Amino acid sequence: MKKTSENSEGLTQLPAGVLEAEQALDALDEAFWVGFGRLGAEQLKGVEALQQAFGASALGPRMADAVAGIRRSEFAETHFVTFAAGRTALQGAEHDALLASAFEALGWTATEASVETNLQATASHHEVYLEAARQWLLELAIVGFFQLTPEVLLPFQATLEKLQGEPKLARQAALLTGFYEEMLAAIPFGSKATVQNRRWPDLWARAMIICTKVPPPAAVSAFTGQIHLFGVEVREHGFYASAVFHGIALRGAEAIAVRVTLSTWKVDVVFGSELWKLFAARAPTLVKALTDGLALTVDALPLAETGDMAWDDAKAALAGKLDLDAIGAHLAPGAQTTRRAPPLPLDRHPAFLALPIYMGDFQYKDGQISFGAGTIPLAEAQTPAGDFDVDLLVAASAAVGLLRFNGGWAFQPLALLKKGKSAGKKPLTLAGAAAASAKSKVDAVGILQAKASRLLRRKA
Amino acid sequence: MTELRQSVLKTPAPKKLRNVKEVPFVELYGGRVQGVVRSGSDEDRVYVCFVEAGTGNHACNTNNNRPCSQNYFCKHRLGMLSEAMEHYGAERVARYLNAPGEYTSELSSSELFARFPNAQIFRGSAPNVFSRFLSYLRYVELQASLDPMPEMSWFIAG
Ligand SMILES: [Zn+2]
Repeated sequence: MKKTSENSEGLTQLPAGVLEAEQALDALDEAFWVGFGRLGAEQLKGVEALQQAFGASALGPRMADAVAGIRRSEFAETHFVTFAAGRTALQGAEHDALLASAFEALGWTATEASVETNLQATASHHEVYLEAARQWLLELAIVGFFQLTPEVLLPFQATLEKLQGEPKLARQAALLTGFYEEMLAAIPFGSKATVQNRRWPDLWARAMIICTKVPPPAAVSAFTGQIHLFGVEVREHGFYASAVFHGIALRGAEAIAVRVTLSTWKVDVVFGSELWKLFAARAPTLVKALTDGLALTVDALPLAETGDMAWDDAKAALAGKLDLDAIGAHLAPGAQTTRRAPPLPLDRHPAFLALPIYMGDFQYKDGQISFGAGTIPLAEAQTPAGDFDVDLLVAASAAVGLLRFNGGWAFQPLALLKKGKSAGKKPLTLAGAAAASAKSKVDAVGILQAKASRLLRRKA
Repeated sequence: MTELRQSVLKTPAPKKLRNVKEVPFVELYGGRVQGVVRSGSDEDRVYVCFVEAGTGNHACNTNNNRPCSQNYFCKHRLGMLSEAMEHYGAERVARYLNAPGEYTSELSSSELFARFPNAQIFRGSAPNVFSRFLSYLRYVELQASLDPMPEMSWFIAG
């Protein structure tokens, strides 16, 4: 096997097939923006090219049916589920190719086994809400994003509220809420030049897929051992936020890359330290481990085969100081023994790639990060504003973070380490720690909750 | 490397924390900047205001649909607009309203209003602003999930 440093093209060149898949996606994007109800000859050609890409595969005949249906202006839901499935299949294949080439470039071993899932029946009232969501998605696709009006969007509000009320449909509700509000805030497009993006067709397809088949949870087993967190990423839109903690779980000689997700519904004025107040109330030990840079011991916590740990603060205790070098040894290029769990089959999308990596020779300059295995840009789109300022990035000599893909590989830092004489008093900075330890000056949630109980009760 | 389209784009984050006590709700929605303003005298009353994009037409009513006693540029309308500009940034609000002239971050709410000299007062009820506010309040009471949320990978504040 070649040394990792000679393999840097693995992160800067696209694996075979990805470019072709991207071109097919471009053509499909076009159809979503123009609207399937008004496709011209040019866009129809693009959609047909997509059909050819599936030729002899299992989806081939369904795709042929769907394209023929659109040609006859037959806008049946099943055709649109097929387009969503086609998009998902293309991006699933891209995900796998990208993952394989990154693993090869970095000298990591892929975990071969696929994830077991627990099949669950969908409640009948859930089916009703999901069907209503699919109907609305169908409407969007026929109309086209360029033609969106409040009249197309607003009727979805009632269904959305039903979905939001069901914790078991949180994935659907959180995605659709973000998508819906984003579209409402963007229209009317007016005189502003609007460039069609990849994002909205992706959000649309994802919503269609998880509203067609509710993703089953992964199988779990109990984990007892140590967890070393190396940072957190806050993912949020105005009304939902997830804090995803990344860490290494150690049990004897075994090392597993794990995630812990805390989520909350919220409103747009709740962000930064206000948001962290909600997370700290839910999981004080976990948040303290982050703010104080401490390791954790946990007793029999459910660990899914995807590496996701279902947090229960009562089963966790703070342990000694976090040792970033020790963590680094498990995440560095060439670290072969760490278990890096595969995602659920349905969750294979390039935007979901987030590979923990340690860079012992980190160097930041003008938005570019150099490390042993090559030079890649900072993951601007995935790194929340305010996580790290440029000075910290420039001063850092080692880092732990995530390899992300967003039209190319990029690095999202989660922990920055200063080494040697320049280290000073605070050698280690973890993403999220500053916001989590800041005292919030106002109580926006409290004010709104008081208002809510007054006005909502009064109305009911 | 060939430039590919990006699926992850940042979700605009609030510029600053607005005054939630005075203006509990403000949004850019369906071609209007709209919101809810606290009444100074009655805890159960709020004022519902909006300004329409393109025309600058505006309204201010109580939640029981009584028109505001001040006719024009009332403190509710101006307050709602200032808080919207605090929250979204003055430039974004001006651009959303399609206001004539330059968009800068120093723009004030009264200057922005003045960009629409032909704006009319919109009579009648403010369309669904109050029900949007009630839906907004619902969010702080909803129960979240403990499960992983891969779709949230698309939503990063910036
Ligand atoms: Zn008024």
